[in-house]
Formats: sequence, structure tokens, C-alpha cells
Amino acid sequence: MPGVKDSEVVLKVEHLKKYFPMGKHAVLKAVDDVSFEMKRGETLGIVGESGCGKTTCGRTVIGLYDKTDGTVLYKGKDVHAMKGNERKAFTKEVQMIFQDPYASLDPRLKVNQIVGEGMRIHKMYSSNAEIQDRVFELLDQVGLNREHASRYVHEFSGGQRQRIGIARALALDPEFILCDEPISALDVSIQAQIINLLIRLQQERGLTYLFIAHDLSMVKHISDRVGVMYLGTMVEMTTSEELYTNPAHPYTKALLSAIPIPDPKVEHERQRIMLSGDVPSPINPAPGCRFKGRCPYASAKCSQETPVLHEIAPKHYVACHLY
Amino acid sequence: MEDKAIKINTSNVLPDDAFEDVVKEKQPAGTSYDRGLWYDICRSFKENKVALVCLIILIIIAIASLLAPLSPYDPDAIDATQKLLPPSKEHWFGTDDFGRDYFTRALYGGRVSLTVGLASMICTTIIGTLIGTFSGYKGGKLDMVLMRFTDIFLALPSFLLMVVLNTLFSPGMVTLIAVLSLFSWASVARITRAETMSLKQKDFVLAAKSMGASHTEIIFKHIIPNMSASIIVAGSLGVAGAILTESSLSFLGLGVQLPQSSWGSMLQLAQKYILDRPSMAVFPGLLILFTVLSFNIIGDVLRNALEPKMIK
Repeated sequence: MPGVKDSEVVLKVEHLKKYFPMGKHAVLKAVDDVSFEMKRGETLGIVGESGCGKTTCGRTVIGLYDKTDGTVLYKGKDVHAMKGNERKAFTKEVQMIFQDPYASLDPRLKVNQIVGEGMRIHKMYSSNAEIQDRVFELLDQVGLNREHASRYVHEFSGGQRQRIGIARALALDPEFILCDEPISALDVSIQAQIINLLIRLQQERGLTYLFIAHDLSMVKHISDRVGVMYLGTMVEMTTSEELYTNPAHPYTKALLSAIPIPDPKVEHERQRIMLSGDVPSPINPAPGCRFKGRCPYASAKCSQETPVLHEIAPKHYVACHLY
Repeated sequence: MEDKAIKINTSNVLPDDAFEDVVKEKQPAGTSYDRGLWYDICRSFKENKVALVCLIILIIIAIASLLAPLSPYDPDAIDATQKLLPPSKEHWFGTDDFGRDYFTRALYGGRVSLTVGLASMICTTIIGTLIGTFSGYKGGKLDMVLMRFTDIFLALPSFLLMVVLNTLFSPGMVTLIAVLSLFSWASVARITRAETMSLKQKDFVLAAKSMGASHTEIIFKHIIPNMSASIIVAGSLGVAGAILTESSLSFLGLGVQLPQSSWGSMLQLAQKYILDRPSMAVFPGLLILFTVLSFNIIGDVLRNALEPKMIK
């Protein structure tokens, strides 16, 4: 894009909090004080186990959920304060790919209506014929046929549906895509195809991805940087190379040790760090480090002081009192 | 940028033409996916013979009612010499106690019953769907207020109030339609509100929202089409219910006014002669039965026709 430097920060999230009230005295802290930045053309992966607030974080970042506190700046503008035309322009530039390819496509609509919906909302083309042509072009790009355009979504397999979801996101020529576990509902061979498609599109169009997943090896593959979330907080963030070769946070170490290795000999010798206990409830969490109850290195300091993200090596941030 | 693409072992991937037979079999020549709602509806009527019979019955009753003026008899002409005749060639359904042709009166009565049934169903579904969807979509305090308001209408002994209202206002078709709609939108509003509450949480609504769709677009393009099946079922049951209520009110003498007839008022008249001329009760009774039954069955078929998963 002319006049824009590659290193431009597109998204800046500062101290983002998203709490859900649960009755009178309970508060579910789904996202608690998360900060990060994303540059143009970059892929930031967010990993963590189920229920750690990855999806809520992503959806709050693109303004689908109201925030509780903090700021999200997209190209310098506050996402949650946008109104009217500004908001409309934002919804065109920022798109989302959903985790569940079954629930995210309206069963009453045909594929060309689904893919063309955004173009109609934003009045990108003046005639239906132009929209139709663009839909065909998009279907080609994601590896579907033209004949598919006039079918209902229930006639497709999971992988094909996810492609429709991707075509819908691409229809608006977005600059930023929130990929919310786009591959976790698919089988392995399809996962590779979808990932390849996403990588190809990024190379062609210079897209920025916020990639949420729980499959660590996939995240490593696609991401430039990875953030690890635990119970609503970001515990570690660094480049994907560094994270996988040199994990610092005890939780990251445990997560990485759980990745199976596709070599039976090495796999046999793999040492797994077993965490004791379950993920504590995010409702009214105790002060201090969220991980202290399961952490083998927990000390008294961990239950008094909440650790904050700090740089321990270049571009390597950890929220842990050990460093 | 480095090439991150995952290498897929292509030798294991079957060539496209390996699937040709399967594809051909699944999609016989001439099958077009560019088909509309009408195609699906016609298809389900073709497959379901009972529904087809019901549709034909309804069409016959509707056309006969529309063509009622073609009958050689005046529905209101009194002829004392011809009273209480049994069914014959001249008078297919016989005559009533004023010597009026019973068949002609049944046709004119059908006009009243069908008009009241359809019109009040349309009013009911429109009012109910709008209130229910709006309430469920907005949520919060507004939802609470609207739903308590709905509860009041559901809790009222509606038939009693209909009787009161019908005596207060000048009786006639318009009053009937208004009163029937006033007391039946609440159940439709309940159904649509519940559906809206679950639909608005769905990912595809979230997707539309993230693409910048307005609330109106979301409600009319995603939420209402997705509950069309429930609305149609509620509507078809609504027609049946309205026809029955209209008959009951007319039976009590609170429906359309004499000398205009409706199936209900014909039943009312027939009860005096139930032992001598049972046919006078049987004919309007059967007409009500067939009409209500047909609307119920057709509602069921339409629901299936509009459910994409059921479309073959």
C-alpha cells in the first residue's frame, strides 16, 4: 500500500478488560488486562486452553463485544467509540472467520447471498451482475466451483463451508482478519489446505491476521509472534521461534510439552510436564498470579503480587516472578 | 516472505475424474440448483398426497365461495312454501326454516368464515412477529415490559372478552377480525420472541453484525427468515383457530348479523331442527371440519418445504 510503512502498527490493545456479570456478586473475568500490538502484514497467534478467553478477547478487539475497560486502537482510532461512517468503514476493513463452519453460515441463504451479503451492505457494486461476478471470482480463489453459488450451505462438507466463510470474509477486501480457530473443526488434511489458503492470501494481499487457536503446531507454522493466554491474562508473548525453542513461563512449558511429536522414538522419550489440578474458575479469581495453584515453582510472592508482562530477552515478554 | 505452505503429498490425492461417476449420480442431468421457494413447495405437495388432497379441498371451497353469486338462488330470499326441504336436485343441501337455499347460504357463509380466518391470521402473525422479534432482539427492560403486556393478553379469558367487545361494537366482519386478532397475537409473539432470543446468539448473526449489517437488516434478513417455519405453522393453526372461534361466536349469535350467514350461525340455526333435519347441522359442520383440518395439514407441509435441511 503506497505511503504506508511496513512497520506501521495497525492494532494497539492496551489493558483490555472484559468482565461478564454473573449474578449479584460474581464477575467472570474473561479477559483481564491484556495488551498487545500488531503490525501490518503480521500474524499474531493466540493460544491457550479452552475457556481461557481467547475468543472473547478477539471479539472484544474487533468491537463485537463491548469492553469493560482499556482501549483498542485500530489505525489510531478507538474501536469501541466508532460511530456511523467510521464504524461502517471499520466493519469493511476488519473481517472475521469463525470457528464453527456450521453455525456461522445462515442456513436460509444460498452461497451467493452469503458471500455477497457484505458487498450489498457496503454497496460496493452498483449492479447484481457485478456482485455475482465477484462472488464467482471469490469462490474460485478459495477453491470452490461456480455451480456452488446457487446451493444452500447444508449441501457442503465442513471444509467447503469454512471456505465459504473465508470467501465471505475476503469479499470486502479486508486488511485485518480475525481468525477464530478457523481450522479446529476440520480434519487434518483439510486443515492444511485451509492454512495454505490463508498463507497464500496473506502473501497476495498483505493481510494482517489475529489467529486464535489451541493447536500449537499450527500456530507455530502460521504465526510471526505468539501470545499465550491463561485464564484471561496474557502470560507470555514472543516470536514463534523463540516461544518454541525457549519458552519461559511454566504454563507455556507445560503446554509445549503436550505437543505430540510425529516420530515414535522421540515421542517415546518425550517428557510431559503434567499440571496438577484443573483450570480454576474465572469467576472472582483470587489476587496474584492466576497460575499459582498449578505452578510447580509457585512462591509466596505469587499469591500477593500479580505479575505483569516484562521483557526478559529482546521481543520476549513474560508475566512471571521467576524472571 | 518464506514459503510457509504445507506440502501435501499429491500422489495420494485422487484425480478429479475419479469422482465423476459419484458426481454424475448425485446430480442427474437437468437438475438445477437455481430453484426457488415455489419449486420446493410444489415438490413437497407432490410428494405428500394427503396435503395435495387438502389443498384441492381448500381450493374448491374457496372458489365455490367466490363464485357464490352464480347460484340461481338469493341467499336471503324467504320462501315460506319451500321451507325445511331435504336435499334434492334443486336444493343440494335442502332449504332452511325460511325456505332459503341451504347450499347458497353455505357458500356465502364460507366467504365470511374464510375471510375472517385469513384476515385475522394475517393481522395476528404480523403483529405477533413484530412485537415478539423486537422484544427478543432488544432484550432488557423493554423486553420485560412487552412480555408482561403479552402475558396479560394470554391470561385474559379471551372468549368472554370477545363476547363483551362484540356486543359493545357494532357486530360485523371487521369487528370480528379486529377482536380475533387482538386476542391471538400474544401466542405468536411468545413463539417468535423465544426463537429470536436463540437466533440472535447464533454465529451467523454475529457474522452479519461484524460485517456492519444494521439491526433492521439482521432482523429481516436473518432472524425472521430463520423462524419462518414456526411462523407458518403458527399462522396455519391461527387460521384454523380463527375459523373455529368465528363459528363459536356466530353460534352464540355474536358473529355476523342476520340475514348474513356464516358456518357458525348456520350451526346455530340447525340446532333447533337437529332431530328432524340432521343434515342442516352436518353440512356446515363438515365444511368447518374440512377447512380447519386442511389448514392444519398444509401448515405442516409448508414447514417442511421451508426447512432447507428437508429439501432433497
